Amino acid sequence: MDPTLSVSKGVFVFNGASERSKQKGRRKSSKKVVDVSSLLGKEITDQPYYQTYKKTWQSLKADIERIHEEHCTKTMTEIMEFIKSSYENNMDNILPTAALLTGINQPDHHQQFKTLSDHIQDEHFGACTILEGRDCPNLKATIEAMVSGFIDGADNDEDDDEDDHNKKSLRRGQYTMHVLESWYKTEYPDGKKTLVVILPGFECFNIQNLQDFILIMHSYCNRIPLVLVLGVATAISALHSSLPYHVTSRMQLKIFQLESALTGLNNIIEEVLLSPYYKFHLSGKSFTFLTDTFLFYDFSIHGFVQGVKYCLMEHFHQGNAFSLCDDYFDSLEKISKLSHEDFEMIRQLPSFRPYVESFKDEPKEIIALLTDDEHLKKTLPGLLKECHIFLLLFRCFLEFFTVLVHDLPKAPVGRLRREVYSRCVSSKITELAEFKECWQMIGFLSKTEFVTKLQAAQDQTLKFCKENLSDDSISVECKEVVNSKFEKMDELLERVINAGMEATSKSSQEQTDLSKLSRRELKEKLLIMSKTEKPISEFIKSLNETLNYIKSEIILKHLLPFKKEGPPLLELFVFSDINSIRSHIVGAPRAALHTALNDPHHYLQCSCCEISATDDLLSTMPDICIAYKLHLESGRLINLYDWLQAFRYVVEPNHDDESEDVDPQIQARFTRAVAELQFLGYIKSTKRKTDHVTRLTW
Amino acid sequence: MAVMVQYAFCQKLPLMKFNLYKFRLIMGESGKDRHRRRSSVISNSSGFYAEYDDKKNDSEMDRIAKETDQSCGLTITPGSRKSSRKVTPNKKYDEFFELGCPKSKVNAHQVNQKTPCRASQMYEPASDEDRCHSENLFEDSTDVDGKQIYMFTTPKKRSSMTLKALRTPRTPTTLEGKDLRKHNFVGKETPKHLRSTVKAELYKRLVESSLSDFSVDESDFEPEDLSESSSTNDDVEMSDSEDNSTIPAKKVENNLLKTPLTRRPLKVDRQIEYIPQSSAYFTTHINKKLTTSDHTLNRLKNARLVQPQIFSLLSSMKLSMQHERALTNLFQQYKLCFNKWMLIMNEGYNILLYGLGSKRKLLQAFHNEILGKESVIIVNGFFPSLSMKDILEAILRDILALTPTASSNIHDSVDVIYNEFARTPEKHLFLIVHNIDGPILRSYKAQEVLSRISAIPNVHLIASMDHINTPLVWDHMNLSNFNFSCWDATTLLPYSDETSYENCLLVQNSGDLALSSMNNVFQSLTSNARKIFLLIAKEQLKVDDTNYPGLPFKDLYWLARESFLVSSDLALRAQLTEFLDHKLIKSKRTADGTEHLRIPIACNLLQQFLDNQGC
Repeated sequence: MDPTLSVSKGVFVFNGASERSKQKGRRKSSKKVVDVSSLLGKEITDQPYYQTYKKTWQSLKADIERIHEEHCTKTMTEIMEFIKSSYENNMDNILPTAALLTGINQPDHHQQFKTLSDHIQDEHFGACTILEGRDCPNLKATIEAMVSGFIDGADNDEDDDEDDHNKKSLRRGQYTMHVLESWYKTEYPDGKKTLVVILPGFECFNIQNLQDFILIMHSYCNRIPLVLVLGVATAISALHSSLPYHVTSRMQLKIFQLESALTGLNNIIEEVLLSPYYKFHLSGKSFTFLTDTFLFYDFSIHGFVQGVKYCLMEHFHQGNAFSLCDDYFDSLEKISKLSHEDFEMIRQLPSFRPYVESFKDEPKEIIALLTDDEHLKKTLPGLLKECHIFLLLFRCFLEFFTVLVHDLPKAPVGRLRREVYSRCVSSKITELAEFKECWQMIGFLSKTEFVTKLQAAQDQTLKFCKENLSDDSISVECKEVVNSKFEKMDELLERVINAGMEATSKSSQEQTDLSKLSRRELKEKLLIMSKTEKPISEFIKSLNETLNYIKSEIILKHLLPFKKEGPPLLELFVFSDINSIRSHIVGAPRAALHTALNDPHHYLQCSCCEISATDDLLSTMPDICIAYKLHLESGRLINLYDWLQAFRYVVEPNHDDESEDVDPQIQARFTRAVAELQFLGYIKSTKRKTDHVTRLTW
Repeated sequence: MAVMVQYAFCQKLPLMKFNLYKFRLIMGESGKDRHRRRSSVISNSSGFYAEYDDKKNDSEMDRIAKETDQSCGLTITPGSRKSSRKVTPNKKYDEFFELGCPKSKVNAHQVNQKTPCRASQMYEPASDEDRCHSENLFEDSTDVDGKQIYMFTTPKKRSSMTLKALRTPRTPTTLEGKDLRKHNFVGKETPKHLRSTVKAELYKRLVESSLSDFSVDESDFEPEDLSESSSTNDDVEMSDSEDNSTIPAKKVENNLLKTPLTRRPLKVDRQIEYIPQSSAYFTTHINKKLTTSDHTLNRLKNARLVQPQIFSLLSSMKLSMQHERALTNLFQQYKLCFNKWMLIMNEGYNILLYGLGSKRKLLQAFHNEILGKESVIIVNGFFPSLSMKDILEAILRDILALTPTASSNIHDSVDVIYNEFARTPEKHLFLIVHNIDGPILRSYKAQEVLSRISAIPNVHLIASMDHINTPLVWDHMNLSNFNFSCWDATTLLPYSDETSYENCLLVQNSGDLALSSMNNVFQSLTSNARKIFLLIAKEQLKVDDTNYPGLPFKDLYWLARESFLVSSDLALRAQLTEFLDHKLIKSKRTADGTEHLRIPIACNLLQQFLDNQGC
């Protein structure tokens, strides 16, 4: 008998006996964040790939958090200023209220409100409590939650020990505004501290409840300096429409705006993901996938970061060879730790093959590469270095290219660095129509515009190099490449500046009077004119030369997609398994059901159920598939009897059609299939007609 | 605001992103398609269908239409176009289309549009933009085309199900035509020559229509480029073989994830052009008349089987060898992912399993093989009288050894759990939820609590889902708390445990439960009350009528009075109240105002009950 199946209960507990759960040492640090212990055994956590993953993720996470914090610092300081000054000249006994327009990505804001509350507490100009809508179903509960938040929160700060349960002197029901007032008088006798109440999700509150709450807070604000902070996810009009005049007239409302999630995302991408510090790269598809999920679905930075983390995890867990995706000098040490299997893995990378094939004339070299681990070990540093330099140069010239194209009209390649990046990474940029459009538009620029644009691009690239490149050998090499290219470009630019504008028209033919020609002659004339080349000015010529130089020397050499065009072993640095992240991050539950029901062969891989069109029906298919396919044929209601007959007809090929009664086994099978379809939500019972069911899909 | 609209969809359908996307496509196309639909409607009423207005032929027509449809891979728009008005494609749309908004500014662009046909513009460019922008989100080789899932079907005729059944390949011994007439499902067959002319005509028109300017080929909503996903070098699998002993997780990944993808045949040439017929939804629902037959299950010898009989019948049934092997293989494949799941959970994600077939066995295997030594709570989401409180109490009492708080707010318990787990970072709890979309857990509140619990770093959730609309329960807050990693775990196993609680349509209630509970209540009654109850029962058995309304109260009073059971009207009322409370009898007032009392169980059961009582 199954121990987890019962008619009387639905929850079953298995208390673990593992060593981990036996260590019942309760940490006494309620504030300090302690990392949760790992679920994995040492055999995994000691692997180089896991350690590299951990290291990369930790630093990524730290960086993202830093950016996130910087992202909202400005607004936070403004709010702090507001809170500080709110009671300095509050003569009219009006409740100071800050409405913070957060945007709809609420999951991201939790952290920001937490930061705000920490700031307020740390700077010692007030106490702070956060009220969640779910804790405040009615007014009483709201007041209790607020008062206990202040009083218990202060207690926790001071004692910071485990048995604060016993310390509570008051029962829940006793938390009232009076208690808060007397607590405030004893705790802060000077009356200089403000009490800040934060409602992160204003929309989650019951409106009537909130109105009363605000009125009560207002009536106390001459005795206790209370400040209200409302997080508004939608728009400020929601606030006005939900609070009537008699409430809003008692609030001194000031509106603050957090920066949009989009800017936050751009910051994170540009400063963290695209930073040359991280050797881990996303392929064009996975990068676009993640940004599109953000842009089209949730605007959630948290979701985006989790997606990146998933990619990172998948990337490193491909094997120890991927632990080489690290800083160049660190990875050199790791080469020695690689085993034979890891080398085999490197050999099987798609880009390794062209590399081996490039030694066409040296069979010895090929054999050594493919069979001798030691030889490969010696070759690896060079290959890795090549990759590092490629990636670094890609990044440098991405700056150059972005400045070049970002402000063109309609920005065909994209305005932002991330857009340009994803385009360059996923395909050969020069072959795209958008690129050609861009190039044409650059060609139409005036001389001064062109020169300033090019110089700005150069300046930006050099600035980027200066900020991000250090003094190690790879950076030095990169700098040399960049400088040599720019020197050549400067020469070309010089010629552009000095070039004359007038066309050197060698064929200044006699201007025949077009009006006097016959129609036929005119036609011929026009044909000839269209064939003869237009006179080109010297400026255009030199400009085209410069553009060609940029195209051939910079874009075609360095802005190559992360595909077969890249250097060997690039796969170690680029995560490209988009199928796995797509199916695991987004998932397609309905599609999976659809496939399984329509084409069970896809999962079963049997020889009997292969079908050529989706609506084919075979008697060998599982019962539920047969019932499903038959039900697709029906309209809104399905007659169970007819359904059963059709079902019988399919599953029992040689049945005796004289008899009305159905083999009980077939009936049982049909019953189960119907029950399962009902369970899956495709049909439900109806009372409109006897023995009928309703279809829930159409 | 467009962003907001879009967002509103998103938050409702986070996992069914697919749906959203296709929905937009449908919305976007509706304006453009109007004339196309109209023309087909006209032709339906006056075109060549008129030649065969004999109703009997309808099903035949349907069949032929369907066959042609399949063989040509195109949707049929039959009939000559009556409207001579040449409809130019929506001009605004075209202008807009040519203009082409800057790629990065989709949302801004939508906001700026203030033209009259705003709705269509809002969607149309968006869908176009989506297509070039976010085709990455979908993938043709593995994803199912949304058109197939969310398709509006044309209203079906009465016998189409039978026809479908008849069309299945079978042994040649069966005579289809004979069968048809026997069961009176469809009318007489159309003569052969008629059928062939219709077929030829249909085909001709089909070819014509595909060449005309409204041909489906011109649709902007053609499926995305299919060759792309298969040809790119980008998605090259990194490698297949590596050390099994050191990195088991990766091996698993290869085994499971990549094989099914490659196995699946590309359905390139099977794509059937789809013209959305949203009006079909309304026509099917406005039309009150039902087209189903009047057959009832009573025509069968045994209309409804009882549950134990079904179980025994099903357990005696054997799957074909091939299928059995396939199912075991499938199961074994999923088992290989177990280590990978642990890894994913270690990184703070939770696991969500979806796909056809019961995943209970799989999760049990996971529990037994991997989590044998860990603290595990198993929740049967399909259990009909589950409550959130049970789950929270199990965590508080049995795992954390705390006394549950008496607070009415369920979130307080969650806070306590959160704090407690924060204090004990070494402790891990695995929460296995079979059917996170079970009837009790379907509420927003339940999901909110569950998601908050699973957001705790030491709590790891492994859940399975089955209902097609499950993703609608989650908003973005919940989803972000859940932080799911979704896995396709199609096992194709029967949902025997999950559906055993459900009151199934075709299962007869055996009545054992009803009888024993009636016995129990009966035993606890006073002797007078028992006698009154027996009086009602006997009276009920005397009448053999399914529409028997019940014993009138007045009659019962006189009967009871005659047997010296009650002395007054009120005393009888008092007794009856007790019966009503225990649902032993049902009281009903008829049109003339008299009260009728009836025992709501079947006659044979009542007889059995009386026999047991020795009367």
